[in-house]
Amino acid sequence: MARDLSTRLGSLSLRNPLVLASGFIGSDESLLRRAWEAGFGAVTTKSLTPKPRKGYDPPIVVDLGYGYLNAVGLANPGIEYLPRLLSLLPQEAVVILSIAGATPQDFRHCAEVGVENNVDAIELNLSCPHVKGLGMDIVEDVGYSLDIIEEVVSLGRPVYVKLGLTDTYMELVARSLDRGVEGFTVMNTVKGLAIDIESGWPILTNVYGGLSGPAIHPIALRMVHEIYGEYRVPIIGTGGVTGWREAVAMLYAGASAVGIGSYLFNRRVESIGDILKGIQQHMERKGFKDIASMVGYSHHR
Amino acid sequence: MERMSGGCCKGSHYHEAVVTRVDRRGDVANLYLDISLETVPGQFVMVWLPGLEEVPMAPSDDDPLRITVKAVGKTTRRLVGMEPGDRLYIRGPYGRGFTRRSGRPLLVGGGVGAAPLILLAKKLAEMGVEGVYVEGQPSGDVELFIREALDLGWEAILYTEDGSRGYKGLPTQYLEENLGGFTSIYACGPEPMNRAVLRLCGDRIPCEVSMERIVKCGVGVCGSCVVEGTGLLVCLDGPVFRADELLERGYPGG
Repeated sequence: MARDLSTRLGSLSLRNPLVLASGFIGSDESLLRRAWEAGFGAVTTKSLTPKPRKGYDPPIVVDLGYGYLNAVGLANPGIEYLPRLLSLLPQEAVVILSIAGATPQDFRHCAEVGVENNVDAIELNLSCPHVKGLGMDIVEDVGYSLDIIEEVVSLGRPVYVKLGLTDTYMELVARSLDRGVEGFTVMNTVKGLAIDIESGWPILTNVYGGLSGPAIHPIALRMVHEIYGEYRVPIIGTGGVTGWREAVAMLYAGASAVGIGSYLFNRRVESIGDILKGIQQHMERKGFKDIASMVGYSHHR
Repeated sequence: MERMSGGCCKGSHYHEAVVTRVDRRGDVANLYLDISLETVPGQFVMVWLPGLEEVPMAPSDDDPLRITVKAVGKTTRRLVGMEPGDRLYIRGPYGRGFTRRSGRPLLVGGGVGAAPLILLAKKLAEMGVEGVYVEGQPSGDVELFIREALDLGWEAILYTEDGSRGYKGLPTQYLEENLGGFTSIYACGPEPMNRAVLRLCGDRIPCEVSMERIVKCGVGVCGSCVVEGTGLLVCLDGPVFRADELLERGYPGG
């Protein structure tokens, strides 16, 4: 018998735990619709900024075999595009708006447009590793991050903070929970470099990029485990989930939902059906009646 | 000669390729390279010039690899200006190419869109298939592959917009007048040409069209190459699409 995959992520009800991670096919309305139709429990938009951004010239992605390095440069059509971006989604689609900016005012403005357009939650991209002034340098400054968080939380929508791999993320978690965020997206990519040994050039036009995929999965899993262990908060576990096994491990570590990103490299989005099927079969085999009973399972072992 | 092998999911390293011969016609150049590549006609490779950009190119020959470039931006201008001995860096192939069918095919290429079609003609000819190759160009001085198609034993017809060589007009005129004489249609060209092909073929005849968009990541995630309104990605779902899948998903042309 097919198991019920529906789950709760904080205040959100999802038809299944898979969430389209920010940055993947989320800047075009027909692609976002296709992602929803492919079966995601929620879709996250590409990070939108107050003004449109062209992003970097290619190469913007390196396929390393054990992961991917990308520096897209926060290319996006700008927050004013949001109504159009959402226009092809059905009413019941669960939408997480990812936003980025340089100042608390930038974030507030983008979040306000999100509230006007009735998004279900807002994800703060404080941790993009490849755009100066719009990413890691924010999340590494806990005080500044909290200023941004306060501005956006005050609008009354569920807020998720996307964490990067920093020395201070547990401090940021503790202090942003005090400010009323609902949960966390764990984790963003990790800054890295790839060099082409034929030409000698760094491959990415931006030189440095964000590492994602299988290589970072154990790190993401550890961060989810650590945050859930301490605070029992809603977490979107994102990082190297490239099959149903990693998705199950994320739930066991404490994630209520599982972000899917690098899995989509070279794959059609419809193939997430394989992950859903794998989770379902695992539930049957192990006797889990619902997703909720899998969340944090490893903490009781 | 180094052979590049396909497969994109085991990590994709760049292959250094040296230009061995340049055949320039107006703002278009055929670059012959010192490597070969196993590819399905219509698939594309990413061509990287360090310090400039990486651009998608559908090869016009595979052994040795040949790319056909039109100067439109800084990177393609540099490519068109290349000389023997210059180096470029290639990964791929990527995407979905043309489906090779027996019968009597018509190949319609516009501008540098003719590139993957001449490779397709070569592969079809190797299968013993005989078809018609139609090429459209702005003028006769950028005629690209008519000679090669004739050498395959195919009929080859040139259309030029200015009438300076071949028939005056667009290559879709040939399609319009002769559609009934073929069992399948393959096309690659500028957007208006592709739309005209889709309009003429509809679901009446097996028809495949290669679409062009700005491909940035090449692996289906950045969304830059979406065919607007359809949710289809040129790099992953294409670049070759069946006419019916484009029309079903709302691509204008039907």
